[in-house]
Amino acid sequence: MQTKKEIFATLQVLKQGRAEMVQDFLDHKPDIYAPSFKYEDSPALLNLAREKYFMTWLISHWQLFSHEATFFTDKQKETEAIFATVFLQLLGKWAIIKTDHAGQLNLGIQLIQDMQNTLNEFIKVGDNSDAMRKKFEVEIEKNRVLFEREIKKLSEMEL
Amino acid sequence: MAVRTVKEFAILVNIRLDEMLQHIQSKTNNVASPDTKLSDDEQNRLLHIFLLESAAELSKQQVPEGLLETKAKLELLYQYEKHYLELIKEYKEEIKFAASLQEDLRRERSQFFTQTLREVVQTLQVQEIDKKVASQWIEDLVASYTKSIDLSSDLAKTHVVQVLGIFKEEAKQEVSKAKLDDIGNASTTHGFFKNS
Repeated sequence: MQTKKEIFATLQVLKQGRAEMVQDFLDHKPDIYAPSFKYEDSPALLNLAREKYFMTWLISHWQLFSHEATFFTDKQKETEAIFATVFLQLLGKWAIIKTDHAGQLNLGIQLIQDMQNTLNEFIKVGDNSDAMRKKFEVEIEKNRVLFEREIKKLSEMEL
Repeated sequence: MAVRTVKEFAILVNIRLDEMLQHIQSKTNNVASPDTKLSDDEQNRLLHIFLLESAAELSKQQVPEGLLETKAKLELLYQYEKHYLELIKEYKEEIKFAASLQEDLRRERSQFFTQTLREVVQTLQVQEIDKKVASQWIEDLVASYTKSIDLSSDLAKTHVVQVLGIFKEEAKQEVSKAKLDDIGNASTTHGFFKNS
């Protein structure tokens, strides 16, 4: 059975996580506001940016738990196991992992980090393809102007 | 139980008003008048005291042979009530803690939906985030917040269930112990095993 202290600490960490998320919105956190403007017209990239923010928020819970566990010097290991179970239950709510067995903690953390990396890569590819598209547009415009110049030159020569 | 005056409570539990006033004074050291209002807790406490006293009084009296079984049952009930009150006293802090956890979560959830969420929506508007984009963020925020607070509620409930489990187990043990004592007493009184 979890002790009063452990239950309280666990609930405090979850509460802190929620408070930090709300504060991110109120404090204009760049991870939320920058992509909101940047990808206003790119729904797919905006989705990825949103996913990335919430994945980062989820994994921040483990840092909060670990920090809290350091205060339980007498039985740190047991406390960490309890936090691990709750953390995995939290991930389970996002269907990231389907077990809350503390032994699967590393798998849970690895999965969420992989998701973060994949999202980063997708966003990078999206950003690059956007830059590439702009480059192509410049090239097309350049070719069009050069072509018109040549036509103009030729028509003047003929006259 | 609704808040009642001393007079109303005396009628409810069928006790004379002057007796009731005396009881309150002797058990709580408070001087009460017929119109003094009694809270839920106070009424419950008085009921328990009356019940315990009646049972104790009954157990002292000489009971006719035919009522021995009833007496035994009442004694069992008395033991059970006594033990239950002791348990409540022993786990008073645990009960208070469990109730405060649930209360905090209810308050937080209601504050989020009535105040915090509005502030976030206004901030996104002031920052001129596109409406469609803002509504997607809000949708995600509400979903994430709800999932997290639901998990917290589940944890708090689990704790309540654990405390109740201890209660039940201890009460059960006390009842079986009392039953065994009862059988033991009955066997000596009636000589159940004399012929065996």
